[in-house]
Amino acid sequence: MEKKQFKKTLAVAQNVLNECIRHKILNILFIFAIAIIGGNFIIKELSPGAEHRTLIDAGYVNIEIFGFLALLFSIFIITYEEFEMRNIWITLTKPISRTTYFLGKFLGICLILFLNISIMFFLLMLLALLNGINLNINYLLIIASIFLELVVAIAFTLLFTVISSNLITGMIFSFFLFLIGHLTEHLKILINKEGTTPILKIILYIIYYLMPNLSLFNLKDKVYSIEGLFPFDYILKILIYASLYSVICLIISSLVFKKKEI
Amino acid sequence: MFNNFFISIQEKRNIMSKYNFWLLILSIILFIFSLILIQSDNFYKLNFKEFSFSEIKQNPFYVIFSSMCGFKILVSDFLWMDIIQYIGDRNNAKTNYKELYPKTMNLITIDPNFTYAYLAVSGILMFELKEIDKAIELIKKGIENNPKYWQLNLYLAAYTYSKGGNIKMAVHNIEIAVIQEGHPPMLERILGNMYVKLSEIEKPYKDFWMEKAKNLWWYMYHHPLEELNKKYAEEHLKKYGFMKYN
Amino acid sequence: MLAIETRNLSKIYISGHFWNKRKTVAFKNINLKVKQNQVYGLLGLNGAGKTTLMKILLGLIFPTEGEAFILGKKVSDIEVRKNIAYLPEMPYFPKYLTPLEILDFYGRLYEIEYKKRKEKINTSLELVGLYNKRNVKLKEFSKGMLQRVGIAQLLINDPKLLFLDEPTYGLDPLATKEMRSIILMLKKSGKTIFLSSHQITEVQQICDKIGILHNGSIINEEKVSNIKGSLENYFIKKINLQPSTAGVIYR
Repeated sequence: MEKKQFKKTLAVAQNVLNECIRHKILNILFIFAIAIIGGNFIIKELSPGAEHRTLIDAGYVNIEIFGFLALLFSIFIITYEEFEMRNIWITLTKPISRTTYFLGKFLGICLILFLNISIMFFLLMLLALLNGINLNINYLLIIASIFLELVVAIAFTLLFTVISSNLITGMIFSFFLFLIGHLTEHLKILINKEGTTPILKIILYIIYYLMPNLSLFNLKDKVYSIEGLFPFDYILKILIYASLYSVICLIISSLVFKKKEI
Repeated sequence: MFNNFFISIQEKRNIMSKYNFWLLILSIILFIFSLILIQSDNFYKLNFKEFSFSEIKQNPFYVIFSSMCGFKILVSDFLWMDIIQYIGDRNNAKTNYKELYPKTMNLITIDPNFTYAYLAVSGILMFELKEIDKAIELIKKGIENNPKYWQLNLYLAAYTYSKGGNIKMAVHNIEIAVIQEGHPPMLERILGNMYVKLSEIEKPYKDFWMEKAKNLWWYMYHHPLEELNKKYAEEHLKKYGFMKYN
Repeated sequence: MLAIETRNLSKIYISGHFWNKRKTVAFKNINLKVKQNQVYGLLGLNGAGKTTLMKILLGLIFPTEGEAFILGKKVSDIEVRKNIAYLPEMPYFPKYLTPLEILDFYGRLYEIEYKKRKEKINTSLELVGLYNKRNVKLKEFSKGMLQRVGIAQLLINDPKLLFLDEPTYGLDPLATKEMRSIILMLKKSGKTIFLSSHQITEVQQICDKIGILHNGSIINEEKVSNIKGSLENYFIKKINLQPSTAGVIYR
């Protein structure tokens, strides 16, 4: 990418970041997330013998849920202001291509997500240390995989908001795809079942490859079943998968956005 | 290579549109390739198994919910809290906590690596509810799902010994436990003592058990987990003539 | 080189379902020529297609047929936008940003270097009387103040061509007077201004030339100096000479 285009992408990303950080809804959501993570301190008391486990598990799940909600809200805020309040009219008449603008928006939302997740993760690790839990690099790899999963979620949410005529519809599709993405791996049961016809198998395979396989990023469910650290080559493979899926969504989104009438 | 002076910006943008198209095609091809690469990964093959829905008898809701959002371990944590509540409710004592075993089976079906559940519930089944067979079955399931978790082998040793005084079975399980990393040093000393006891009980196989004891003590002497183990090993090696006194 | 040129420009909207599509013609075969250093006023009734035409010229929507050029380049050319600026009707800005931040953002999009950008932003804010409120969040601004921020963002890149859509809409008389003086100042400095408005009296005071968009075409273009009497009467007379449908709807 040209240096100038990259600078403009950064400008848009910074704009998105500033707008979302100061937005009340996101701030309330963030405070709520922190409170819930802090509340895990109490929840763990209900789980004698597995207190450490419960604290960490609930913490990661909270980070994932609130991370997803934060990205949904961020995209809603930005897109609503763009289209409903016609904020985008002035911006797109400046010397910036729609692709650059779109990439800047994607980068901005990723930065917000990174900020949210980092702070929540830091708090969780602080609680873990106070509870005498031995930390290792696996905890960092789990949060990295959650971040990658949510970056994929940002990409397909932006795709839906661009394609659909209604912002709410796009959000709903994204929410359901987030759920379906975790079930994709279980499609294999149907594919390998004896009674499945070849045509159905082909359809299921197409769905399996089309849907984002979010269960690949689910390292938090595997942390107790492995010995030692998560293998780095697997982490690299899911990083490549997340990057490619996001790139595909972004290319399609930018192609649609280029032709969209504002 | 293009010379920038002779390409107008508009032409550059036309090239970029075609570039986007080919980038999309390339990304899709690489994406499918990356998915195939992941599926051939060992970690993936070992850990990303399909969930057998038929295994859940009591509550398919937990299975579906945990799968849908990827919160398997959190659901199992909540199931554990449910078991704790169940045990804590005195009313359930009237039915001899009959739901304890099915609830635990649900939990370990969702999360086979919840090791504390195997230990705690099997202990309750064994020593409080006197359901020895269920306790042993539960611990065996735990070992099957967590072969490197030495505590499970230790518990099985204790249960099999309690059930019928089967010291040989206890020894077998402790032998498995001492191979695992993180086992307590004391376990090696206990095993040594059990070998000596067996050599006294099974006189025809005395040499066999003493040979095992000797090998264990030499290992403890050369690779002690703590100083006490080395002292113990030295003491016993000298006592039984495997080491000369200075 | 013309500031704005359209060649057989048409816009047809397609709406409805797959089996029941409807076409709405916004305008057809518009051949508009706007010279440089001119203030051109586009007049028309509500729904005539003024904003649609402006959005096509700005690249926000795409023509069904024909071509449009601004400053000799196609409207799809992004580089030409360095020399244009746009103020929509009732401009809206991200409410949690400050004027300084939003102008800095636009300045970065114009590739203006930091020092120069800072200077231009301060000058623009002083000109519109918002320098003291440069760090106040935009959500606290009134409609008139937002309009002034809109004017400030028009000026930071020193454009050759400005597009103003209803620049005095919703403003009180004092604000309207201020807006008029700014437009006249820009006119004096040799800028080309393309504006659309319902405020006929304002148009008569500001514009050099007017065009009337009605029934999907430009039915009349005339220099304001050639119009005798009030522009309002002239406009109504021209409109009344045409059939009374606004837009053409057919299946």
